[in-house]
Amino acid sequence: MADEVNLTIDGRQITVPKGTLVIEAAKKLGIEIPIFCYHPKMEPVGACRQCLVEIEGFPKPQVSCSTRVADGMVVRTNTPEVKQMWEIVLEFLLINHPLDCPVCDRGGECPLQDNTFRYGPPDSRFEHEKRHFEKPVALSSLVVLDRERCILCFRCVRFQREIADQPDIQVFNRGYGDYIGIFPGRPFDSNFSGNTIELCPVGALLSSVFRFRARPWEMTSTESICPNCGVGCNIRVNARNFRRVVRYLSRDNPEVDGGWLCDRGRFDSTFINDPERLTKPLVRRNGELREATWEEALEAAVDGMKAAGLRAAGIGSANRTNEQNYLFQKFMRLVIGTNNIDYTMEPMAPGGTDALVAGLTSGFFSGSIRDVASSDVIVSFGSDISQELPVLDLWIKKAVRKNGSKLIFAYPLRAELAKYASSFLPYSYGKEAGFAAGLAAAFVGKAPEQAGGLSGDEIESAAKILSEAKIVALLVSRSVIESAPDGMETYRALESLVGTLEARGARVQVMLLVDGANTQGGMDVGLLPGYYPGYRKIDESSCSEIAELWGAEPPPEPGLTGWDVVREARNGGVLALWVMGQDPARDLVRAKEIAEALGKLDFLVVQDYFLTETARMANVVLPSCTFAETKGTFTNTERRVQRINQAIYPMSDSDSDTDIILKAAFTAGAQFEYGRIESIFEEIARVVPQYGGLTFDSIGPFGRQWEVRR
Amino acid sequence: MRILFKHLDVPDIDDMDVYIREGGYKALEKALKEMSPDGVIQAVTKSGLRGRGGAGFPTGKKWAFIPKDPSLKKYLCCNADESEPGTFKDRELIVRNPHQLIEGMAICCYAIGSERAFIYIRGEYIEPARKMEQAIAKASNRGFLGERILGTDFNLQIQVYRGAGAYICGEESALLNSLEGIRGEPRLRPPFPAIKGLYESPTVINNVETLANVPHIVLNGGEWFASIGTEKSTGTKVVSMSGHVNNPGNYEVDMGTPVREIIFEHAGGILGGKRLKAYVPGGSSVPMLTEKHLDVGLDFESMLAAGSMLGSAGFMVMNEDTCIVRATLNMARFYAHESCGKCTPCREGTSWMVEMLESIEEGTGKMGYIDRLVDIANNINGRSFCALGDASAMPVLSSIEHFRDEYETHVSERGCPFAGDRGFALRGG
Ligand SMILES: Cc1cc2nc3c(=O)[nH]c(=O)nc-3n(C[C@H](O)[C@H](O)[C@H](O)COP(=O)(O)O)c2cc1C
Ligand code: SF4
Repeated sequence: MADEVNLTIDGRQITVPKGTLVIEAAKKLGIEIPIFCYHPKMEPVGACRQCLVEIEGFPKPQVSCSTRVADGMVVRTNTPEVKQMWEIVLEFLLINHPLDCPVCDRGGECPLQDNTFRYGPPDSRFEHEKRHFEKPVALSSLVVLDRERCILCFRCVRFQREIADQPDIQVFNRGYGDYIGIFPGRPFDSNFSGNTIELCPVGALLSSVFRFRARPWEMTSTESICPNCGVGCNIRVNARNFRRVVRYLSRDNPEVDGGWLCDRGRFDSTFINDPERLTKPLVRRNGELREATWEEALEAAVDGMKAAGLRAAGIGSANRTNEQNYLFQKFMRLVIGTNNIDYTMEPMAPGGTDALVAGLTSGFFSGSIRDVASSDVIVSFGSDISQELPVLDLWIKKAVRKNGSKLIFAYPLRAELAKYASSFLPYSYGKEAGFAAGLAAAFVGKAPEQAGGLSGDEIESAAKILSEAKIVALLVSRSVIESAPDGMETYRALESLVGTLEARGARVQVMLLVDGANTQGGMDVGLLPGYYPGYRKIDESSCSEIAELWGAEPPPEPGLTGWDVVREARNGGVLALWVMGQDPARDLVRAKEIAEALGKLDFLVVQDYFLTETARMANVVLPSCTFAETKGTFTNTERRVQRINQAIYPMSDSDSDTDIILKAAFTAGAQFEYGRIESIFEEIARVVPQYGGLTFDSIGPFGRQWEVRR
Repeated sequence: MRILFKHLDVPDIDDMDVYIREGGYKALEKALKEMSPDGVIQAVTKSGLRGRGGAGFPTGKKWAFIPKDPSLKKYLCCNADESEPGTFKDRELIVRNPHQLIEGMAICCYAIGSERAFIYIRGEYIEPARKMEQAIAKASNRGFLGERILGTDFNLQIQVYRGAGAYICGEESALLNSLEGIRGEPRLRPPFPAIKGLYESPTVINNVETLANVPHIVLNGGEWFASIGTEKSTGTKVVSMSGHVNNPGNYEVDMGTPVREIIFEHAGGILGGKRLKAYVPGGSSVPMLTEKHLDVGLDFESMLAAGSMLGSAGFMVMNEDTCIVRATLNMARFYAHESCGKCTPCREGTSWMVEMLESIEEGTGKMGYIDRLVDIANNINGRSFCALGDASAMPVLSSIEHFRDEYETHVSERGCPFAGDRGFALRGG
């Protein structure tokens, strides 16, 4: 085949696609070539010269990181000359290196150490004064730089330029005086700066959160998922003594994160071992929260909830696992006896959730993150992706900058991605439906005078871009369907737009954008007042279906939404509330109103890590574990079910949310029997049709998407 | 024979009217009106003209690499960075006869289909830059540049761009970076500038002297040019003579002229009637030669055969009072200072060599440093990212090859045996 090339490396034949780099071809043969500046996810630069090899026909040695294969090429990496070249580059790199490995964070996981160990010289012939720089230098509140350790591979500079497109750090000066730095008065202020620390092949770029916290060899590494947003980037949780989480590292999932993390996720590890964590259950006595035993606390909790009879409610969480949320809603329905369950207390527009569910169950929302990479037009509707789902922002930037994809960015504010948009459509808040309808109409040649606060011209220019598209990725924020007015109309307009596009031969993938790490999973497993698990609309037949699966009958009527609960709490319609893993009295836009309503309740139970604003108002506070202390699954914005694993022991007397619910059920006299977390997942797979066939094992390290075929 | 300097005796040849009176811009007219772009490239190819910037790449071949696709923008960059130590010929070519260069550039642009050219000029060349700008303005007013040149449909704009003082920006791909406003360091090749150069477009980069030859080739034909000089090094070469000679300055000689004639006839012999110790024929980036090499011809092949290179023909002469270690240290400092820092061997190796040379010159060096210098130089040479690294090895390797005993004396006598003014020093050395 013309697209394949045959070459020989160290006497061994291999066939690789045309355009492959020599170093990648060698990798396929298991032949290791040392590198520093090369990184497979960035453009090769050939700067460090560590990877020199001999290629027949070339008078000089060539860098394998930037030389592309050619038919009949003969490459040698195993000659004494090549070994000598590898050795001398290491000698050069070390002459000015401080060799302070014993106090270096990177010692033990340092490519400079590793390459020196394998290929380096036994000692140095350099007898002069080493180069000095002032150090350490804080590039930002998160990133610290030791210039003397830097070997000038420029990976950090290239990452910020090529991948993040936030070229905040640069090379300054020249030659021997080269150093990495920031511009005067402009700190390293990027959403992705932490990646440069991980890319650094020495201990030059350091995390101010991790610095001097642990030696690499005394840490355990546990595969998990970042709990910070709906992208669900894969991480490794590094911990000491099974007690203290010291950092997160990326764990390349090519379908989800491409090996990157955002700073919000990466540096948010300190809360786990925060001394303010709750360690003992609290019960309000004589107006004050006091420590109590688990038995006392659980009894008080169950009694208080039961006393409210039908006027009880529960709020689950978008950052608790599927297993925790599933048990929570089952507990509320079967033990407390209410369908007043939701995943949030934020107000929803009438019919919004129904539109969302329609999209999810019909397979309308069946797109994937990777669709962004393969589409020629990307339409983003309603989300400031750079802030809400940061790593997805990198996928979009790459598509626009590297693949030449066009972006239609519809968002009321000029957010960061507007800069990459071929068409930026700042529709007015609240006019989402009008905008969507306008776009759909323009696309069939009936452009309105104006729509959603935009002029007909603006809409038409976007429609024109769409009309030339062959593969479209349409990204729709949950909020424009569920929270904005007329969500059902917006949804219908999008359906019609997609229908027209498809009728014209375009391929369209629509992905729902949800913000929380497990918003999607929470809804899937039943944190909705109008639906039983698996989006079964509550009616007689679904009620008996669930009754059969559970062996006990859930309440047969739809419940109140989270926002209904706020309203009803004011007039006595709801008397008791159980909140698992949320702080609605602080975190939501309407926090003040919510706090006021919570104050009117007879009884409030809060399950959380900290004494949050909401917990301060509670009658019973149950200390729960973070994601690092438990095991389970999260489902991300592309409906990918991914595993988190336990990295450390639970803090003091805290307990996992699943165990708390199980104990509460037991206290109430119910029979909830689950041997292990896996058993809960097995039940979810039985009860939630979308999860049918999945097992904890079959999910694998990189997760599995649930799909509904259209 | 004088080609480039043939008008030097004509007063005010830098004035466009005088230049025209002497037959200037006739070559441009001939190219535009009588020759096709390919015809021009063929004439240049036939002439055997090779780049005068140092590498000696055949100019016609370089131009022929430019894709013919008319939808692509193409650029010409005239390399007037002239930062090679000992080289000052482009400066004179520009100051004394700016229109000759403009004419050459215009013909090149016509041949490669470019409507936009730049002169990247060394930052310190303030006067030459001003001169160039004035000449461009005049030529534009007269219709030799601008829209519809000489009534044809050929358009061309030339812009002068001043460098900011980095030697590496004379390297062609670093020059392109600098021109684009980004960090001056060489680019990975491929893609070569002929395919993706300035602003990702096909680009020719040529030295001032190379382009200044073009009008003469067009007027007199490729065969005429090829008949001058040697078989493989055709035409003439402007030699910048400096160091210990009685008459420093630029001399235009036929390719192949023996070094003896250049030093002793053109440059008037060695200063103070002393003996020649060493000379560098092509700017500091080429190996130095000695007395034994006085009969070598000044051309690409002969210099290579003698163990050096023609380079830029920046000719530096050192007499017997020169301390070779100090002269080498001087050049080594230049490379350490000018290394861009992109690649490891050059960034780290050049300063390491300076450290060892300093120790030897100051008398604290060890005997082992001499072999170590050779080893380090050999490990920079051929392993660096660009030719600056290779160049940095040349003075060190050649001086130790020819004057090892002098290095050894420095070490064994714990200091420099040359008293007082030890002679040869580059500026800043
Ligand atoms: C470090 C370095 C510096 C250079 N400086 C110059 C220079 O000042 N002027 C120049 O014409 N060429 C210089 N060159 C050579 C250019 O890279 C290039 O080969 C030349 O401009 C091509 O023009 P030519 O084919 O007309 O010689 C330099 C090369 C290197 C490696
Ligand atoms: S050899 Fe390397 S460090 Fe030296 S100038 Fe060239 S690229 Fe820069």
